[in-house]
Amino acid sequence: MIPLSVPAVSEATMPYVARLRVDPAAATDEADAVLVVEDEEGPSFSGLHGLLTLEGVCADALEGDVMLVQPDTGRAERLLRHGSSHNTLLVTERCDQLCVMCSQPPRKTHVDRFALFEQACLLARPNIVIGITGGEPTLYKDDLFGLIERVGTVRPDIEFHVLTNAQHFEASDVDRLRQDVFRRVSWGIPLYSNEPARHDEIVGKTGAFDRLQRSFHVLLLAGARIELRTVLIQDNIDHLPRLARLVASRLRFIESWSIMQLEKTGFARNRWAGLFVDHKVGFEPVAAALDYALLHGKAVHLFNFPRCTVPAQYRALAPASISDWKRKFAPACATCREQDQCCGFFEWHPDEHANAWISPL
Amino acid sequence: MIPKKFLVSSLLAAGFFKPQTIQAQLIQAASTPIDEGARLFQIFTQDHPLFFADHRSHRSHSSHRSHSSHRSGSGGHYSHTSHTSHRSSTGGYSGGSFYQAPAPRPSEPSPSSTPTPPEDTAAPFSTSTLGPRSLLEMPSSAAPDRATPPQLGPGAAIQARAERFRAIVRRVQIGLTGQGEYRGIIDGDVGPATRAALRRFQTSHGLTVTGTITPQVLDALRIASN
Repeated sequence: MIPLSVPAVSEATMPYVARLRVDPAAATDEADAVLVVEDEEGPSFSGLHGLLTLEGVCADALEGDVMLVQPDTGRAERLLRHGSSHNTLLVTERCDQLCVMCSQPPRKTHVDRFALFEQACLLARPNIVIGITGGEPTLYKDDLFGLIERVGTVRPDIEFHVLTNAQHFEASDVDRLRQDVFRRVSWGIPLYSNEPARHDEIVGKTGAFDRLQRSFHVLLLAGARIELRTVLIQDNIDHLPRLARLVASRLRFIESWSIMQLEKTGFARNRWAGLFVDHKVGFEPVAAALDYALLHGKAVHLFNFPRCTVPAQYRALAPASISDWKRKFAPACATCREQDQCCGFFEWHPDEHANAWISPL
Repeated sequence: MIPKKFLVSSLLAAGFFKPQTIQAQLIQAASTPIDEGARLFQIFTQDHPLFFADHRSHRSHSSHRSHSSHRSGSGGHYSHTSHTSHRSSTGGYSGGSFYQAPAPRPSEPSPSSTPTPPEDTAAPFSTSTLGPRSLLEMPSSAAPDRATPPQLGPGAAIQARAERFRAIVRRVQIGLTGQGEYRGIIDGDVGPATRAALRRFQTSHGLTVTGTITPQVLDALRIASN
């Protein structure tokens, strides 16, 4: 697993953002910190905020990374990794839903780091997509919109992908969301069932489905780009074909639909047996949903579906969806010829399960 | 904007640096409680255009890294995760660029042997056959050819990390002392006195005044180079 956070000693007392430069000639911004020295343990950098000593990662691996240095915890977060296309900012750990399979269970606390994230975005390398996640980012809607507007104005090359439960969009947001900068924002929104009660049950919030429809209305009026996300669990697998009808007929404005396999972490870790659906054994509902969506011209993808577990005719819909830093392959994958196209497994997925499940291509 | 080059030599020529007598340097060096082996070198380098040069090219000697992992017996490369295990198995080597031949030598502890005593009894760095290239590359806490004690537990790791950080700060403090801006002890802590000294130094040399150890400061003190 690629470390996203490394031990750090710095002379600063407050958190700050710095972009690391191994080659001093590449330092073009006052937020650039240049390599001072590197030894066996790790490199030291120096910038406007002074000296920064890191451990556990070599300098070359950090070249161009935008770091959030946190003196209070003695760590530095690699907010935007230069060589990666999977960069995500976690803007809050609060959430107003409590999904049964939540991979990142919410916390009550919130640390406002929007100003630091904004600085980081401005230092991003050209033409990247920056993911924004939580918790629920729209709990801090004004901060979030402000960040997108300001960064988007200065950096028209940057796109955002925001994961949100879409419980907080209001009619009054339409004008704001119609601005040009929001054309480069895509909203990843979960919808788990065509039945309101079942969706509410899964997300742990009464009225969530209805509130979501209201938000869809707002987003439709704003011309927002939406990626719908449906995580497969035992509670919704049989609803999938009907959900496909809802998506293809009622939610025509959705840009794409992602059907996602479960991630064994967070709540799903201990509830695995009651949640996980082995699509390899029973692919019919998934196939029916895919057929319907494709027939009606909806872009649809299978995320976190190892390619060999998907019937050959649907395999093209299963991309390498798992972020680089948390992706792994099981020992049994060693002989597979399609690894580079495959999502593989989450780092925390048990190898025993993966080994028994897959059949290398 | 950070200037890419700080023209120390031309500033010297223009008389911007305070003249230092040999005596002052000797006093400074003698009052420095660290770097026994470094002391003489420091005296002689203080006034030469000997930069903390080519750490870039130096780093490109990949053999250094592979040798060290070799010695540790871990077989890993110096990257991401493998060097963590490397460290925990044998302890890291400070003064990384001074590695000796990879073959085990009698004086060198084998991976399984008891670690060498800590810094104060360490052998002088002159056992190295390679000349030090800069102040920064000089070992500060252990001789280059000795292993540091294995770091067990998070406390030891934090301490080792802090020590690497402080080694650089100490060199900055030494440099500031040499410039007559710092009169405190060389303790490796960026405290109020060091910050004040940094500000004075930055002001008097026309650098961006931050009170922190910026690349400009390191350049001007010839602790880092471009």
